[in-house]
Amino acid sequence: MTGHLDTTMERLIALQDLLQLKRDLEDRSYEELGFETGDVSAIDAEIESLEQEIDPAVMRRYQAIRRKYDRPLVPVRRGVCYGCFVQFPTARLAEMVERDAPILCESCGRMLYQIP
Amino acid sequence: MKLVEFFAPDEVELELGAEGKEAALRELIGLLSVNEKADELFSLLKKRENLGSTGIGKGIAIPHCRSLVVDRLRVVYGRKPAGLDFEAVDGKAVHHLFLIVAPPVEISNQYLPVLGKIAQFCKNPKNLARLDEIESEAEFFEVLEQADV
Repeated sequence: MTGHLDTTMERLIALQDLLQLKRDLEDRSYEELGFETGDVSAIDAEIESLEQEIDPAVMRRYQAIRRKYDRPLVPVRRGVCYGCFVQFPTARLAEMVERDAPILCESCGRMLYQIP
Repeated sequence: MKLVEFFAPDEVELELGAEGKEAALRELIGLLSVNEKADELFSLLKKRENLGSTGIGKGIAIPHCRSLVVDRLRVVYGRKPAGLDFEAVDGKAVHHLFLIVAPPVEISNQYLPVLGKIAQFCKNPKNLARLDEIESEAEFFEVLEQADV
């Protein structure tokens, strides 16, 4: 189901989106809106499958950051990390495009994802 | 913020061409202009739909998700006058579709409140009757404005 995801960053983004989806479905105020949610644990299988497709070293780092923050992967926009809102060196932004591995925020340590 | 403030004129489509659920999701995503990220968004919305349809009955569907592919909360409206099969909970055709996509991190945390506002708007049959009749995007905004949600 995740075969169309070609890069580590795409897989990390998909993984975090799924983790967020699960959190939202379990949120009490979401439940009160009356949407059908079925068996939320079905998402666990998707999450597990995706985790296995990600480089183990990257995955270990992701899980380590997750112990500290709910969202280990955050966007960087206009040179600002959207996790801690501290400016990120613009020279390093180019690296994000060139290499298929996440770059860490020098301030908070979260993984960064660039939004144009 | 009022519901009307979350919509942009080019994110309203009063004549959806889609005939089925997947095509409708893709058409709504198209209104967001997320380009190459459209497939990622579609995949996530499908996963959400697989857990239970967001076709909440009475001709309404509110597909929604959070995703890193958007940098701010986006809301799109699509109308299908002839109706389409969205596998809604009441088994009836869907005519009004509201797509909501929000980033995982939102400073103002509007995602669930906006979902609630749309659900509240749709609970009033008069609002839906008016949406059935409108002929332009401008009228869509008038309906939302007057609904005062």
